[in-house]
Amino acid sequence: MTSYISLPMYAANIDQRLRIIAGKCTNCSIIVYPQRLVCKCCGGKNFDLTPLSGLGELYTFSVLHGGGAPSEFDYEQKMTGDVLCGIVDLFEGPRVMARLADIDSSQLKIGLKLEAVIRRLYDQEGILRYGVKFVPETL
Amino acid sequence: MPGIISYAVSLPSLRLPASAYVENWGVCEARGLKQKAFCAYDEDPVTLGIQASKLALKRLGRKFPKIDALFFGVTTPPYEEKPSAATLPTALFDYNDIRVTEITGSPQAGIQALIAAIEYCEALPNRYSLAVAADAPVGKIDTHFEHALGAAGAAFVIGPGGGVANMINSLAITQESFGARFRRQGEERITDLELRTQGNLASVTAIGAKFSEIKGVGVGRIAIGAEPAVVRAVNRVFGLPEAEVISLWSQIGDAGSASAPFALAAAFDKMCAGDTVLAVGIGSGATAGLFKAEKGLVSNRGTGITADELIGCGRMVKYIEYLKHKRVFSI
Repeated sequence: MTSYISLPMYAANIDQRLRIIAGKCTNCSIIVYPQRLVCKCCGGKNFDLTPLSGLGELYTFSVLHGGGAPSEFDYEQKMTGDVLCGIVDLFEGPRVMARLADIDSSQLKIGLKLEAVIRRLYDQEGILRYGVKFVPETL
Repeated sequence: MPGIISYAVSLPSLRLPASAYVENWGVCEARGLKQKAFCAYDEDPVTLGIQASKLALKRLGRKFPKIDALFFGVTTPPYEEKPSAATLPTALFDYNDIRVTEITGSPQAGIQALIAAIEYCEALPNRYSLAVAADAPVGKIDTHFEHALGAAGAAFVIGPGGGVANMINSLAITQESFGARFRRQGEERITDLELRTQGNLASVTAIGAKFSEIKGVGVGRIAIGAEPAVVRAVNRVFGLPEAEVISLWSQIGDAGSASAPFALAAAFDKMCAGDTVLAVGIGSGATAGLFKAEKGLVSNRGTGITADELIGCGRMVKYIEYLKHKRVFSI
């Protein structure tokens, strides 16, 4: 299992990945993240770019034990243990799937306040892929 | 006159107690070390730099000024060629007309980045710059000096009028170190001949002598981020009480180019308007900047986590977990 993302695709939406830039539909005002070509709500095709705060709550989560994660995480999982994935309700509305960090799986709780941080996700094709993870909200 | 208008620090999420070395090696060779902060598997100087920068910009409020230049001081960037500093503005700003400069090759790099950022704004009035120092030096795991190696980040926003602190003078001493601490091209881990304390003492003494020649310059504190032997020497050279030499080395470890900037930020956390602090980055000589706190310091720091609070956060781990996060087994 792999979640290969080509470098051109990674580069094309690097702003979304590093700054959490959403699309706001000019027709129905729904905020969509990750950005899409067509509004999932009204079918509109025009969006304004909207930076998100990165604050949200844990909607639900999965704990991937050994062998359950995509291959690019194999070594990381061997070194650091379970891979934690969450679905996060962002403060501005979008619901996103992302890695969770800085927390033990036993401490995960639905409704947990989270904030987005930039972390190394994985190496692929010799290039470091940085992106958003969510960690428990600090001060 | 341009100066520092905001600042913040970052630390990685994990901590290792010095006792872990005693348990596993029989002794902790980093004398005076209590614990150190170190990067988790998914952290590096770039993520630390982004985190510190975000906090520094956040302290300015929702509408922070457009940043015209970014100076990144780091000895362990993820790439030898390909500017790691370019990742920072991409993660921070929605514009790309920004000058990015990466300063590396010495633990002085952090203070050099800060002084370069201030001098940029002095040369180009009414512009804003961001100085970022973040580092996570890596040594061979069976070497003595590895025990001290930690990680940290600090960021300073520079703009017209200062507000938090203004730099009133800067000095540099350059001294060939004959490779006391070095990393040859293509090597991932530093080598240390463990002679740096001696070399650093000479540099700090030279800086002290230079400052004593300047009339009207009072050094109230020193921010240096060095091991206790150097701190004791600084006490002697500058005639300051121990408490006035700010070094978080015993709590975060040797954070390379981020050590002195982190100590400077920690000093700002405790200073009042009018107080002065000399920030000294060391390595093949020394670079120092003398800063005077301004009235805006208290209001700026009131909106964020302090260096001491951050040190108290983080998860303590055992030595085997430390090794796994450090990627020492294989790449």
